[in-house]
Formats: sequence, structure tokens, C-alpha cells
Amino acid sequence: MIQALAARPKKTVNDKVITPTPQSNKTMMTIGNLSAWYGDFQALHDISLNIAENQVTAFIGPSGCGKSTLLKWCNRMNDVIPGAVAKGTLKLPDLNILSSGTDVVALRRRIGIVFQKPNPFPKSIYDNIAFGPKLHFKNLKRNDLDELVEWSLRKAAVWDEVKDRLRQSALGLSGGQQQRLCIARAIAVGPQILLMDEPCSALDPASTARIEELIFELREQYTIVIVTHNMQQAARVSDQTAFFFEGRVVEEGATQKLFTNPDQKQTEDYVTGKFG
Amino acid sequence: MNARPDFGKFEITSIKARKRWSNAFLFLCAVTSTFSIVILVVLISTIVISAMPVFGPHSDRLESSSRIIFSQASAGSERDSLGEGDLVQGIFRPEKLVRGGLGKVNDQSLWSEQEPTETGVKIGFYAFEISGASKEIIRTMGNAKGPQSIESLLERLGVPMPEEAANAGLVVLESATGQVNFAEIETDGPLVNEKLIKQFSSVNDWTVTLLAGVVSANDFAEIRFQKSNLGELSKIRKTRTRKRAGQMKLQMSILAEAGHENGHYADMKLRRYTDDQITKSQLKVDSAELKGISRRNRKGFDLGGSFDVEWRSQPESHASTLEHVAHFLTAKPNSSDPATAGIGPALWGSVWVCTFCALFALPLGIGTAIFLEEFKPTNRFLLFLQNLVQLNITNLAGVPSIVYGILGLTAFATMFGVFGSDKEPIFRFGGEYYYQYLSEGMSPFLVPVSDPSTPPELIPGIRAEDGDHQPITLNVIGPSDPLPDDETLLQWTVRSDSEGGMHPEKPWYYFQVPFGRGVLAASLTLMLVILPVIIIASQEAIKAVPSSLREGAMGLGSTRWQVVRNVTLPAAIPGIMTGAILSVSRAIGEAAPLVVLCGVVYIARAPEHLMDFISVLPIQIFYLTGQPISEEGQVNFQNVAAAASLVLLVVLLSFNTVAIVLRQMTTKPLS
Repeated sequence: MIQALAARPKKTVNDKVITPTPQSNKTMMTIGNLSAWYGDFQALHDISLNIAENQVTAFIGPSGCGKSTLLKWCNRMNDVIPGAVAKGTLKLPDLNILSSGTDVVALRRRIGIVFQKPNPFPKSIYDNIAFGPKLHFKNLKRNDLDELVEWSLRKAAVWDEVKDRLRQSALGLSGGQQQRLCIARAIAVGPQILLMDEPCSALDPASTARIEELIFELREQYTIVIVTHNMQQAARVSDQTAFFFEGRVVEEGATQKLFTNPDQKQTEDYVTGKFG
Repeated sequence: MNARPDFGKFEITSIKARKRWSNAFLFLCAVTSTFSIVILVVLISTIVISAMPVFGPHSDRLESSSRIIFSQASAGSERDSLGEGDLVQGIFRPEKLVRGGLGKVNDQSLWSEQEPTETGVKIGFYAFEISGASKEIIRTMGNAKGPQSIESLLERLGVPMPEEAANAGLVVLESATGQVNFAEIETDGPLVNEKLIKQFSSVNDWTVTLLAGVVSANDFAEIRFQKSNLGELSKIRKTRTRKRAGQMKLQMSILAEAGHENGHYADMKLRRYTDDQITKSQLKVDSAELKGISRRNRKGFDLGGSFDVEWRSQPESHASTLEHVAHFLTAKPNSSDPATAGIGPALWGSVWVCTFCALFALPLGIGTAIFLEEFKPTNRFLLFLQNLVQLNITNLAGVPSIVYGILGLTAFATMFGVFGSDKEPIFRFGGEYYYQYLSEGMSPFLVPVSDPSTPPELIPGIRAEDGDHQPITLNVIGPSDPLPDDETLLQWTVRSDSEGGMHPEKPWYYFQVPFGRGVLAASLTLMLVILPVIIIASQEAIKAVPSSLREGAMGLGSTRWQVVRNVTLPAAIPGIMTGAILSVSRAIGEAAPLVVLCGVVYIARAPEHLMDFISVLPIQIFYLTGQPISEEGQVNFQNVAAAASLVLLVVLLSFNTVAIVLRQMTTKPLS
């Protein structure tokens, strides 16, 4: 695990070494005593967590421990699942996410999500990126849209690969490119928070590495929450880590500390590979 | 228990035997499939073969050179041809059919008259016999329609209503006593109407449209054919009943198209009812040359000599197969002559019904499918409703379609009788109503009314129009007043107790509640038939869209409708369209509900508004197969039915082809 931490990419963008973002204590999202149910099954028990701004927070834990559930509650993707209920606090500084009065459409513009499996729409690359802006922005001019598409694709580090075939179907891209396209699509509407639900689990190691680099770059401007099964990945990309087990947060804290010197025995067993 | 089982004790099944069974089964499948292909080939070739006569080269007319013997030869000097004003009189008896003929010599008129004989009256030209006291009707199956006229005529005369009298045309009658028994005209449109003429434009030449009369032993009829010398399509000429020396003369009118060569043919059909027996006879004259003589002598009308009418068929097939097909697709279903019968109105009926059926069914069906698949309600009541709808649709898909016919009849055509009958609806919009009379001068005229159920009172100064909707001034006289001598005055003279028939004129936007047994009710009924199929097909197509796409769109902040609009529908539309096309093609071929709803009736024109009566292709086929097999001619109604089936098959196959091509072309990977 030490090696994994040491392998954190030395990020260079345009040949400039990026210094890690200074630790910010500003809280972006507050989760307090959050419990969630799917019908009778309680998936989350009294979760309390703070998601710090402009940092990458990783949720780790074995399958079925509730990390994806929590992630999906963050932008209310669970709304459409019959019987899904959440109680507790889940707040942005200015918005109570769980309140029934909260407009999920507006919420999802602020909190974007990237899924496990790349899911580009069966449209052109350009239209994929333009999809979100067209939904949300009214006075969108042709130029604005072009700029926005290019910016998003550049930001997601996929521009160079697709700039010559923007009008071709997005389904012709490789899995890694598709996933970066999905990230570009998510940031094209200008979210504050990016939720990533195991974004690399369907990808090969090379594509995974590129996505990880990308996450590392994106955290300068976005608060990122990433769910991952891959502890090396969590160690490589995240600043904060929360370890979930059976619907509870066992331990949370700075990634460095959690992986090297965890407080809980359970955490240690998990990060060292004794179970899970 | 952990010891390895002794596999050696198992006997290995004979691989040979297994393969033998497998091969036998495969062989059986191959035979079955070959058999089904053979059946399909046989089916299609049977239809094609029996449809061949309709499209292949055939004479459009009846047999050539039937010699018609004028049965009552009489003295008179022989001439080569008839001169103008010459009279022809007698009965034509070509072989066994009682048949009349039209002799047309140049532009002269030909008419005939007939004295009473011992057995009854023999009326010339149309040559029909009337036994002593029984009352008979001759009429043409014309383009006219109007149950009221014939019904009331028959009621007055105490004759049972023949089943096929519904399309009666002109009825003109005057008895020996001079009292007008009946004189009424009821047609689809105004009598003097271009529409009427256009329907006949497929016939190059003369068309005798209307004749119906009832005569008794002492009656006397005169029939006159006239060719118009107008330089255009001539209108219906005149219908005149004239009394002379205690005898009745019946003069009938014709439609004529000018510009044709002399001596061409007429197209008419007579039906004769005797004791409810219907004898059908028909007449097609290509070129009737009257050889022989009849002429006028000093006393008045006298018999001519014998003469032959030579019937010539048209030369074999001027028309190419393509022209035959075009004619078949557009002509009206001439119920007298299979050779010239077409399926135009039925084809149009199918087009109308299916268009409106698709217009109603597609939005409803796709909408329901979206509701069922995309909007999973959290509300318990809505969820219950959704489950109920789902259950219903699954069950409705299996309901026999004839049941929908009953449903359509009750719910759409009559609307449970809540809004009055479909004949006298509570609400109607757009129609104009007239009562149609025949003046004493035998000119038809129309009197507009606001309430179609009550005839207007004929009083002096009443507003009236002639057949062209030009205002006329009526001269209304009392029931027993003497007729004016002045011909022009006589033309628009009417007795105040004249009876007229209702004549509606309905534009394309005519609408009524209840809908009646028309296009709209039929479309809605067929919509019910295909709705479950569309819904289920659309549901399957929507289900096939990966949910990751929906999540992706939702995660970007789409509303539920935006998800459907931007992601689900575009991805599902090939499947939806395939299902929709297949269901519409089912609607085209559906006969059962429409037999219940619209009935199997003779419809001679394409629908003109949503409430109009229709025939559709399957019903037309049903109707045609029930027609009697004719003893003459090369084409039978059964051939026409086969040809219509072929058209139906071609339409259905092309629909299915479009569906397949659409699926192939638009199906793309979704993820």
C-alpha cells in the first residue's frame, strides 16, 4: 500500500508539474445520520461524513456495503427506484439534497455523475457533449456550444483523439475513450461535484491510468467523490477515504493515514487484503 | 461419501441412436417446412391464376355478334337503317336471357313502344315481360342511391321490397288511369351533377343510368334514348312520363358523353323482380347497328319489320395489362359486369380507414407504452392503475376481432343510442339538406331545408334550386289544378302535394354524433383491434433500450420527459415503427369487425367525409365471392375477388417489406 501511495502520479500538464492542492477544510457536502432503505432492506446505517471541497474523496469497501447507494443519493438517482427511501441529512452549503422540495433536475446539473460502465448515447460525439448544455442553457449559441464541447473534451483529455471525428458515433470509441467522453459530458453542464461510480472497473489498466490522471487534474476545479473497489486506485487518486462496511462507515480520514495507519482493525484488515 | 463414483458402471448411450433420432427429427422439420413453402406457393399461384383473367387480355364486353331477333316482325318497307324519328318496337330475346338493347344510329334517337298483349305488357327495348296482374320493376343498378324512393314506391304499390332495391335510381310511373303513381328521383348528388357523370367517365360512351318503373297490364311505356349533342359531358337529359290515349309512356334519361364515335355502346343493367325472384340481365353494347326497319306510318306509330342488332365486342384487348391493372384499381365495383369491375372505392376505403386508424392508434399506443415502461409511479394508486392497464392490454391482444366489431357498433356507431340514432343524430355539422322533387314538367329540383327529418311545405314563393343549385322560381299549383300549357312554365310547375325525397349534401368536414357506420367508427374500431399489438411491440422496443442510457441522461439533469424524448424514443423508434407497421397491415386485412360495423354493402364511390359509408378491400372480396357465377363472359366475379386478394396481398407484403427494411436500416448498437 505504501508503494501505491508512492506511485501517485507526478502530474504534469503542459510540462508543468502540478503541486498537490493545499488541503482545504471547506466542506462541500455534509452527510449526517443518513440511513437509507430499499424497501425493507436497510442499506445505510447512520452515515455521517463531510466531503471536502476540491478534493477527491474515495468510498471503499466490499460489495454491498452501501457506498454506491450513498453516491446515488448524493444526486438523488435513487429516486426512480421503487421503495428507495433515505432519512437523515444530506446537504450542500446552500441546499438540502434530500428535501422533497429540491428540484432534482437542477441538483443534477450541480452534481454530475459518471457511471461504472461507459454509457455514451447512440449519437455523435459532439451531440453527446452538447446533450447536457442543450437541456440546461437557454441562450446557447452555436459558437458557445462549439466552445463548450471543445473545452469539455479537452478537460477530459479526449479532445486530441476525437477532434477529427466529432460528428461520428460515440459508440465507435474505445472503452477508455468512451468513459472520458462520459466525464466530458458530465462536466459540460458545469457541475460543482462529480460523482464517479467505479469509473474504471470496466476498463483496461492503460485506460484506467489515463482516467486516474484525469481525476487528479479535475480535482482542482471539482469536488470529486469516487467509489472504487480498487484500493490501489483509492490510494493513488484520493485525498480523503471513507471505508464502508455493511452499510456503516467504519473509518474515514486522510487517505495517507487510512492506508498506512488506520485506527480500526477492520480497516487495516481490508486495506491489507485480509478480507474483501 | 467422498469416494469418487464408479463411472464405469454407467452404460454409454448409443451415439448412433441419438444421432439417428436427431437426424429423423431434422428431416421431419425439413419436410414440414418444405410443405409449408409448397402451400404458400400453391396459395399465391392459385390467387394469381384466378386473378389473371382480370388483368390479362380480355374483352371488356360481352360476347360478340349476338343476334337479336326482333320477335314481332311486321309489315313495313325495309330499309337499311333507321332514320331519325323511326320507331323500333319489340322484344329482344337473345338466347335465353331477357335482354334489352340499345340501338344507336348516328345521332338519332331511337325509341320503342309496345302494345299490351294477352300475357301482359311487353315493353320494347328493355324487353321485359310482365305476367298478368303481377307487378314488376325494372331498374338499373345505376350510380344512384336512395332507399327512400324505392321503398316508398313499393309501399304504395304493395310490392315487397326487393333486397337489392337500395340503389334504385329514377322511378317514373304513370298508370293507365292517368294518375301519377310515383315520380321521384333520388341520387347521391343532385341529379344534374357533374359528379354523377364523372363516375361514368370510365365508360367511353353512353351510359344509361336510371330506369325503374312499375307497370300493370294496361300500362304502356315508352323509352327514349337520346344522345346529347352538347359539346361536353351532357347532363341527364329528361325524364318524362307522358300520357296519351289512356296509355302511359315512360321516357327515361341517360347520361351521355359527347365526342364519341357514332354507334357505340351503352352500359346498363336491368333487374327484374318477379315474386321476389331476381332475374338479372345486362346489356353491353359496343356497337349496335340496327339493320332492318321500323317506321312511322300514317296512323302514328307502327311496327317496323324485323331487324337484327349486331353486338360486337370490342376488339380483344386494346388495353395493356398495365391499363387493366390501372382500371381495376380505380374502377367502381360494377356489379353487373365482372370484366369492368374494379376495386377503386374499396381501395380508397381501406386507405381512409387505415390512415385514420394509424392516426388514432399510433399516438395512443406509443403513449401508453411509454407510460407503462418509462413512468414507474411511486404513488400506490397509480401503480395499481398501471398494473391494471398492463393486465388489460395483455388480455385484449387475444380478443377475437369480431367482438371489437360489436363494441365499435355500440360504442362508436350508435353510441349506445344516447345521442339519437345514427340516421338522425343529435349533433351534426357541415351538411346541407334538400328535398328533391320532380316537377310536373319532369325536371328535378331541390328545396333546401334546415331540418332533414321534415319535408318542406310546398307553398308559392318557396326557395328552390335546380340540380346545379341555380335558384328557380316554382309555380306551385293545387293537387287538382289543371297543368299549364306553357312548356317553360310547366318545367317548374309542381303540385303542392308532391312528395319528395331527402337529399343530403355533405362536405369533407361533415361531422355527426353518433358517428354512424362510417369511416370514423371503422377507424376507431380497428384502432381497438391493433392497439394492444402496438402497445406490446412498443413496450418491447422500449424495454430493449439499455437502462444505462436512461441513467446517463437522468444524471445530466434531464426531466423524465426529456429522457424519453431524447434518449429512449430515438433508440426505440425502429422497434416501435416495425410493430406499428405490422399492426397497421393487420388493420388493412381485418374484415370481421368491419363486416359487423359497416355491413357488406355495395359502395360505388370513395368516401368523402369521415361519416361516409365505406367498403374496404377484405369486405369487397367477401362481397365479390358471394356474387353468382356468370354463364357468359371470360371473367367471373370470383376472378375479380382473387384479383382483389392479390392487391391486398401486395399491399400487405409491401408493408411488411417496409417494416423489415426499416428495422434493418435503423437498428444500430445502443451501447
